[in-house]
Amino acid sequence: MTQQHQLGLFKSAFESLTREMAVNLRRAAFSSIVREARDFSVALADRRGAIVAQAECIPIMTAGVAIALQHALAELDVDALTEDDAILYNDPYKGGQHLQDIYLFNPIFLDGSLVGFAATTAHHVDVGGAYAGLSADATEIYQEGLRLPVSTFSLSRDWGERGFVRRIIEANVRVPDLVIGDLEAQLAANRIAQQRFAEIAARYGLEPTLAAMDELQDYAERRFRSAIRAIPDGEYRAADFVDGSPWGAGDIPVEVVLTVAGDEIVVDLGGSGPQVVGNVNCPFASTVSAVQSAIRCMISDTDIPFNEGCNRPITVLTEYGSILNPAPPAAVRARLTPASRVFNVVVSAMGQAVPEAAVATGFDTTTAFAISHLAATGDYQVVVEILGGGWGGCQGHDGADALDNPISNCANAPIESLETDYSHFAITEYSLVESSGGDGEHRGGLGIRRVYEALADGVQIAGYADRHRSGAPGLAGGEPGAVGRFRLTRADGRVEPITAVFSGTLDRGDRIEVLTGGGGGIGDPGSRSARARESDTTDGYAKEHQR
Amino acid sequence: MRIGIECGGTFTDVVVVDDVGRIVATNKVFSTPEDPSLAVLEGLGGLPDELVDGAELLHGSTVATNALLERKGGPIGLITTKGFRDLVFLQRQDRTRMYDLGYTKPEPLVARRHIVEVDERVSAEGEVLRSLDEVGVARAVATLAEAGVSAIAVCLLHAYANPEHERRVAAAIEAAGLELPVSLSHEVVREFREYERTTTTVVDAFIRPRVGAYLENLRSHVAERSIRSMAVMQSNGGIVPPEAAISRPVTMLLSGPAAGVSGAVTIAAAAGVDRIVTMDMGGTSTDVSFVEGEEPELATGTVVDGLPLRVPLVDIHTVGAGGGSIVHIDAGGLLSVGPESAGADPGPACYGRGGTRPTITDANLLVGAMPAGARLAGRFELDRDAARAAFEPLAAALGRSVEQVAADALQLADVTMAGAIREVSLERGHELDGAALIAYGGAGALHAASVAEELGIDRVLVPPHAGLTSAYGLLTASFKRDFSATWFQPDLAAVSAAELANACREIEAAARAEIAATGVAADGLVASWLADIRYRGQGFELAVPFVPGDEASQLLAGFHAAHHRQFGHSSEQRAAQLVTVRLRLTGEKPPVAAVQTAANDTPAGTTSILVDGERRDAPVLHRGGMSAPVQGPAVVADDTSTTLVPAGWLAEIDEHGNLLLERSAA
Repeated sequence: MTQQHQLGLFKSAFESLTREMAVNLRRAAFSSIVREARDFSVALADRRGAIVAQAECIPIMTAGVAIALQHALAELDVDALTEDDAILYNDPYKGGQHLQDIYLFNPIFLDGSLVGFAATTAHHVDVGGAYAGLSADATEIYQEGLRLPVSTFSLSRDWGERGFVRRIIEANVRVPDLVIGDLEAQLAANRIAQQRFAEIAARYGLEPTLAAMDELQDYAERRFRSAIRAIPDGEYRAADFVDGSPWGAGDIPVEVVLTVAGDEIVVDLGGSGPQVVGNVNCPFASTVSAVQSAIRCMISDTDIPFNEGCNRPITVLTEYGSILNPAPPAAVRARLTPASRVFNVVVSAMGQAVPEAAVATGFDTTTAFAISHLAATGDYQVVVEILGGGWGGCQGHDGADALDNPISNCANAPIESLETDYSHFAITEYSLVESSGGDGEHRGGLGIRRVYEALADGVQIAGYADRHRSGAPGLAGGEPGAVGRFRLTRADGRVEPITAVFSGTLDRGDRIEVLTGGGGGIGDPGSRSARARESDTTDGYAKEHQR
Repeated sequence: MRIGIECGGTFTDVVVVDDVGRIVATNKVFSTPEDPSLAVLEGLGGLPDELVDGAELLHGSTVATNALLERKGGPIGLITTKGFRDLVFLQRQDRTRMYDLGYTKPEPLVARRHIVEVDERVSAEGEVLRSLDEVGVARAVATLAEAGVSAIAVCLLHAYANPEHERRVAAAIEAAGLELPVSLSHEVVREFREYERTTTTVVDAFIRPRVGAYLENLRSHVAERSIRSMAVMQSNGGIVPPEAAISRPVTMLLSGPAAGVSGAVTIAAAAGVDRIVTMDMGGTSTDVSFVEGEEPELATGTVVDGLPLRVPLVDIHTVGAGGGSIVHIDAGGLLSVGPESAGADPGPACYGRGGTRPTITDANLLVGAMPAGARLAGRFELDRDAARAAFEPLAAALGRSVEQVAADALQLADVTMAGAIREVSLERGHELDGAALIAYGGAGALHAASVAEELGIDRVLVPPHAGLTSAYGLLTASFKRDFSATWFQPDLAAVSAAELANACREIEAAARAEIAATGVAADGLVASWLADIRYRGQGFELAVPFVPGDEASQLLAGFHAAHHRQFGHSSEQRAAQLVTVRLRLTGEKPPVAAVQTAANDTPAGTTSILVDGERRDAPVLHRGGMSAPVQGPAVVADDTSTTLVPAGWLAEIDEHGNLLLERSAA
């Protein structure tokens, strides 16, 4: 039993340990998606695989680590693990997310006994599959890349220059230097966790350290349960849908029945649509991550450390074979699209339970756009752009303009940097989309317009998005935000319509406009203050009201 | 005489040195944030006339930072390239808090109605793709004039590669007869990345009226006190004449911490220590930097109030709690420290200025690390009963004694601070092994040894007048100006030594001309060079030192080595690109002499100090009077700071007047 007054020291030490893991992973990573977009997560788990501490990374990566580790340990003989073992896997049907997110777990041993696990996951730039860059066309997992099942491997035997695991990966990805480099960065992060853990145990004693690992989970659980207790009991329902589905799947419903009872929440997503042909299926771990992120946004206690204790009061129910818990061999690459709707319906249901925290729905969509070119020199130039949109209106102020999806957090690439690095396109406009925020007492945030002009013939483009047919709903009388769109204008002025999931080719002088939608407004537009209206007009945020 | 006056958040510190660099007087007064010059004049007023007459004044001030943070000032205008009006609102599309649907982005300093586009376009190579629409420019200027803006920022796309269009916009503003400060992006920061360059230019324009008025006003006031000349501290740790700061005020932001590091480096160099971690613990936070050799590492940018600024500055990290950090119980029943702070006003409960919430400073008083009867700034007696009253509710809730809770809070603060220092050192690629910790700031010396112990550092240096290190740092700083220019070379290996030398020659000529225009003799300044280099495909660069005339292969070797040091790997097979060239021009270093601390004959007392939960009597020594090494636990006090020597540490005064703490072998 840890002395209660020492628990704060352990909390600080473990949190520092995971932040050091994050620093080390980022610092050693090769690819810019890890370095710049921080598309990774790190955690310290106890010997049963329960998360004790986790550094704050992007939301969709956070809760998933616990599920992945639990799945892995359920399939392994934990007693047979040695210090030389590591676990590398990404299986979307066994606790993984999409194939790009590869998990690496290392057991932590002290004096010969297993005391915990160091866990990392990172988004890798390429894991093989049918296309470089971005593909919207996959219909099954086999087209999306290398699938790594749960298994242990020997670091000394399989990870050396000629090791089997390293060689298999090198042989199956397009950029082996980057992928192996980023996996080495994950390993370096896990190593620092092993080292710091040993130091903490030496400083405070192993028994109190192990006890503190348990107690910190109870502590987080206590805080989480107490935050849930503040929410009125009841059954809250919300529905939304995915309209950006490939292969003519139509609108796919995402529905929740969220039941708050005492200090527990059951999130039943069973009413959501069946899995579809195409890459917009959401693995179960991604669904749970989206649920956890949404609840975390809506509870009053804002700095509860993330660990296993936070999972205990929450149950997530899905139908196996549905879009939110697909069966193999469903394709899953664009899982952020349905995951975003899960996030939206849970936020919406929680908003009914806690009206004072309710916000209107944001555009909350990952609009991905790839523009690539094979130059005459044989060099492939691949650029993947991620655009966010307007956030929903809030009680007290307008929604934020032009932010990435709330379950992710990708920065944009500077125009001057893109135009320095690449010669196959220029950006001719990057702006807010005026009047795209849903009107209301507090309007939704504005979407983004980014226009690309091809500077060469044969420039390949592809993209996926959502909310191209109906905008983010408003709340309490607020109006919906504007929809997004892709629009292609040929050099001669012809305009070609394109769908939310597309691929195509540009020639010199052709332009494509990538436009993202706004957030929904909140409250009766008639109650919008005169001062806000004056700014809408004079600053040009909303020139014409639809009313 | 040379007088250093540093206006901090709480105190304005004064240090006077004579012509050979000996400290001859010090003073400390409360800061006056609404008009910092009042405290400067009060600080000067406390000095005898013979020290002030004909003296040189070195000044560090938060005026630029405050102007930015308080956001007071008339509206400013921004002129930008057609299609890119919204860069300051779009920002980088990311956020700093993950689970906050009520997130609000940092608010730009310019309103959308005051941003006007002009039709023009330059390529990344500096080629004019669309010529400047002069009629549109005249219209834009007229629009801003009519709106009554008090300054104008101009930032056109790729202007770093070809500034011609920005210059013509400036000419149009002048031709319109507007007598407004104008900040041109290629002059403020001649580097690529449009959002960061625009924001920096906008900040420069926004704070210019206020910084200019402040420095002009101060200069005339100190002239009345017969001050011979005045110079101002910048964020890069160098000093410049007021003219330079008035025309480029963005370089004055965050200069206080830079002055402190400058002072600490000078002190460490004199003591023969070449690898240091500086720990400047003030009222609200603790600033840390890592220095190897005699020059602090330079960062090329920072973020203030959510706004990214591309300015050269001493690489300083804020890592955690300060003396005013509030101790509380969190929602899960755990004792926590900060991030909330009692700040300077009302300050800790023991200051007796209206604060009632328990802080780290109160905890230090309760455990006896600050002896009973200790005084704030050597003058105001601290109120121990108020500290106790503030801690009582926590003690009751936790079922422990007031002293135990105070000790728990101090340990937690030290562990958290050490963890944060370790994270930053790892991030920046600095080794802590074998480094010495230099502690200053009001509370630094109280925590230094215990933080060092958590970090595995065995040596701590507390400079004399540790509460005045920033003001002292002003007196150790040289003239320094930094210049940069993005000069993109897609394949560094293909750049010849002559091409690079030519580019440097142009940059240096322009820099020396700009310096000469501020009235500084540019001839004696020494040039040093850095090249920002990256692997192709990377989104960030590393600065590598070079000298004009170097071959590309020498720069590449330096880059691979720097990359390996910072990130743990490098690859000589990957193509590297040169992005930006940086020039620093440095003047002579002023003389600095060993500090003579005044002998203090006041009898040494004792304090009852809590060690591992038990009260022990520990000696309280006056620093000036210490002639022999002292074993901890002990407390060493001087006028501006208190040093805790924990059990297991040995303290002595070195030949330079520093208090040196070393971990005992036992």
